[in-house]
Amino acid sequence: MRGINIIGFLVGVYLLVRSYLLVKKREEDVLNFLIWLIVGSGLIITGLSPGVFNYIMKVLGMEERPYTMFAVGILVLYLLLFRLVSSMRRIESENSKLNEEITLLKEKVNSLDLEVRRKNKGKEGRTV
Amino acid sequence: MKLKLMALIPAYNEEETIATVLSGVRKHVDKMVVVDDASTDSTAELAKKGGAVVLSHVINRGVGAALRTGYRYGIEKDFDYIVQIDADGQHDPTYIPELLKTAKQGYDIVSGSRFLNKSFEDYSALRRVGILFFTKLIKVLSGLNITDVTSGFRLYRVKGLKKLSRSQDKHWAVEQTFEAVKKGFKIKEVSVEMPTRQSGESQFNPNTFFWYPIRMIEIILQVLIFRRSG
Repeated sequence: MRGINIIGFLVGVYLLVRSYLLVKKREEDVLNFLIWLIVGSGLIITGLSPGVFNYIMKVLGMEERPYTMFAVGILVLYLLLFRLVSSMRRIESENSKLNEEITLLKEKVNSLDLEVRRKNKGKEGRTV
Repeated sequence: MKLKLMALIPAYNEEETIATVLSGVRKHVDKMVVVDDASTDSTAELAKKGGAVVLSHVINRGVGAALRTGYRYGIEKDFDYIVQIDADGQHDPTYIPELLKTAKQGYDIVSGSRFLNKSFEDYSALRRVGILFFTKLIKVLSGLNITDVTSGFRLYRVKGLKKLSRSQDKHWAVEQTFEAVKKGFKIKEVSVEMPTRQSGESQFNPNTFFWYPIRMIEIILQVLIFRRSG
């Protein structure tokens, strides 16, 4: 096992732990879970048996270095896109929670306002 | 002791039908709550005039979000049952007593089904296939004997509703039903005629049809992976 394989294996384990933690903490993010699970498992498999990686590259016709770099570049872009989608979803979910809170608070303020006005009216009536 | 029933009506740009829906619902419930999902027409004003409490969303977030706001209101105000009904007039309020009667037999959710009568025949073939596919999927995954998993005409026992997780903003029905089964809720269907909507803007467009299956698969995975059984 070469150094790069050990690093790949360790990163794979880290990603699997992350996906497990998502389930444990019940952070309901299916996309994150699936990506960490697939990438993590892939890294562990290629880390343990580098031959698998070479075989996949051969099947894809990417044994030559420039092709491999191109493929890795695309993969990095996909990961960036995934990060962006993830952040967007988190912001949308927070937006939704805020929307709900504001709506219910507005209703509470309105009903309190109504109650105060009713009381004030009652007081005025008694004074007259 | 009389049990309190609240009607929850999520609405988005339904000024043509909201007044008629409210006048039909009024006699069957103790309180009507319209959650206006940031309509750009006069839905909110008409709902207020019609005697409903109006909860106005600041931004449009979808039916699931509107329902969540309504459930929270119902829970905070200590209602015993919540009946949710569409604002477009597709759901006939005269079925409410039947839904309530069934719920009182000990059910947590009573759902109106258009597949227990002939009204589903009015729907487009694509929509029918979609509903039947996801109903079958839930049936296989959960063992629940149900005919219409996407029905929005439902009555809930609030005690049960409190146990459900926060649902998605859109496509809430499949998620809610699947989670409810996982948590051991007692669910029953009642035959309800649901003709297709006559006016207003339908939520089903080519965009919805494209994303619907993808979102459904994601939701099913979400419930399977993250939601614990009750």
